[in-house]
Amino acid sequence: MLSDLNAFLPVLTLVVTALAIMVADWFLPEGDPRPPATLAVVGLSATGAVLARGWLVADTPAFVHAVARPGPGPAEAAMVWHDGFGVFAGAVLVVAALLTVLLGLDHARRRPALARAEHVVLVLLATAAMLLVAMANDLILVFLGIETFSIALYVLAGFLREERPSLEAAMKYFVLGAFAAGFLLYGIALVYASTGTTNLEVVAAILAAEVHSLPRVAYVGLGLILVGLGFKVAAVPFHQWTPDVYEGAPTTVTAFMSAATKTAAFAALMRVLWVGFAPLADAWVPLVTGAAVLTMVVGNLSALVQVDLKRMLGFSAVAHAGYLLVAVAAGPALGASALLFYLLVYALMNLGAFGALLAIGPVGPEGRDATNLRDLRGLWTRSPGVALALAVCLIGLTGLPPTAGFMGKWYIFMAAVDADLTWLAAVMVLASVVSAFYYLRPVALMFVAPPEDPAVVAPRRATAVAVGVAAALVALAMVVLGPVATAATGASMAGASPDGLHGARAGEPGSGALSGAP
Amino acid sequence: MLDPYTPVLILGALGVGLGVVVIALSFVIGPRAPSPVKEATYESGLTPIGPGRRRVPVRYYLVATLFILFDIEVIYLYPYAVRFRQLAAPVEAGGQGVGALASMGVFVGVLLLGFVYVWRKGALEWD
Repeated sequence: MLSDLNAFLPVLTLVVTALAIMVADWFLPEGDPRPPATLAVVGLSATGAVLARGWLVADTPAFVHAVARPGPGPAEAAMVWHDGFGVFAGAVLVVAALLTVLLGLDHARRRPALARAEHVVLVLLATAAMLLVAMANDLILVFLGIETFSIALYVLAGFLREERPSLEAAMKYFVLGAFAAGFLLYGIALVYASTGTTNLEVVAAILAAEVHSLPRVAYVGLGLILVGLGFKVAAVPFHQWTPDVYEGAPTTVTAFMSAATKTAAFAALMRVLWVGFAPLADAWVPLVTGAAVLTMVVGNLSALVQVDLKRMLGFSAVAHAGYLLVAVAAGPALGASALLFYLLVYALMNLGAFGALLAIGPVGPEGRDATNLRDLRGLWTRSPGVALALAVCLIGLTGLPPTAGFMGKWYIFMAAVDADLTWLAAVMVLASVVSAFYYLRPVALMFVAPPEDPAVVAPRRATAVAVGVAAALVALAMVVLGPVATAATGASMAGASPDGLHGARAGEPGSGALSGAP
Repeated sequence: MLDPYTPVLILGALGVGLGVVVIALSFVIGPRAPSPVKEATYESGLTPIGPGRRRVPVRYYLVATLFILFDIEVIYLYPYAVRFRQLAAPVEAGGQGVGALASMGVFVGVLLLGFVYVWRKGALEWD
């Protein structure tokens, strides 16, 4: 009972904070975004502290329960694993939520709709559900968590309900998301039908024991689960919603979605595949590598022709899903560490980039957010700080040294080579070369082109802090993020067996390509 | 080969087939004498007021959603009440002792918070 609470403490802290903000909202003046945001920052910091403490006592299972089905496998299995993998992913989520709340604070001054306390509450509840997804060791919990944070995100995407693009984004996200949830749930049902359990570790044990006599339904279930999770991580061919939703949703929400949803969904994908379906690796690794290639190619090529920066970053999110799929294919040891580190780096770069766009402030007579390439012309003369931060984040997204993006891609590259997927690593490098064009074009515009509107840009304090911290971490990654990378290497995933396609090699202890700096 | 699912398939085919046959039969041999009264929308025997498809105020959906939310959550009280004696047994006897009361307290507390929130936000006012 108490160890259960230990494992759930980060999630509980977030939920209690969200409830407290709802209660406090009854007594607070309407339309002031500061009190809810302050409470949220306190709650998120507390969650961070709980996670830091959790890092020390990681690898405690929660909700250990007996499994009804007799036969092979452990006699009892946990619903939630409070392991290094989950705690690290949780830390990434908390960082993303913290930056989002800071950005939202200033965004709310321009968009009164965002000043409602519900904005912050939904971000916190979504983060709590995402934490649960990152730690879940049971398909039912994976589904529940994904649905909970998705419903919060549907509402957040449509938060500017007076504006058509926001409503359109919410509607599209909701309809397609509900459809994808159906696939995921049906897949889970079929896996249950063929193994008699939804617990990932027990699923793995039963699959391993019956791998030669499995009913075809098990494979269909695996395929449907891949479709459902593929939608959430925005992998091609399930990516069509991404650019539309990214473009229409309020910019802070887009930033949160891109960083946090990706983290939760990829953590779930990694765990479901490498804990639950590792015995069937021969069947799904080709699918994942194929999807990775398609996702990298389609995402990067589509991003080339975008003039709207939010849309461009939407396709960039698709392309990055491709890079992350390479990490998933690379296995539960090096691949998982590379995945975790890249998710953190990606969250920083994306939140920094979206934050810099917000920092530019309202554009034109109607006061829209700066999202067009045009709005970036001559930004260097208008605000050197914002221009520099945006440039750092975009260069990081390209993956050029010495930014954090380079480090992240390096680790994924090494993991892929180690897993005998050198050709996939090569595709990743080529795709990154293509991406340089659309990431560096805005950078050139900022520094070379003359400004259309020479007014000086002065971002507000919260935005400046959030963007500054993100950009500084991305720029100084080689110096600052080394220990974090080491931590990612040590963040093991409970229950991941080194068997499967990459068996012995991936399981080898201390092959440690991650610990050495690139 | 008699798959364990074959009876289910047969049952399904019978169910669908019977429905199709009955409807087709009544369509083919049933007498038809249409009149304006018979064509009118069926409203439990009353004279219909207005067309059958009309717009419903969006508030109705809000109230319906809230009803479903709270109604379904309250359902969880029933299994708890039925098993209360076993749950509240001392820990040594396999129960949860005070924990049983505390966990339901948390559940009802969250439910109550939600209810007060809905109330304060004015979602229960019709205007």
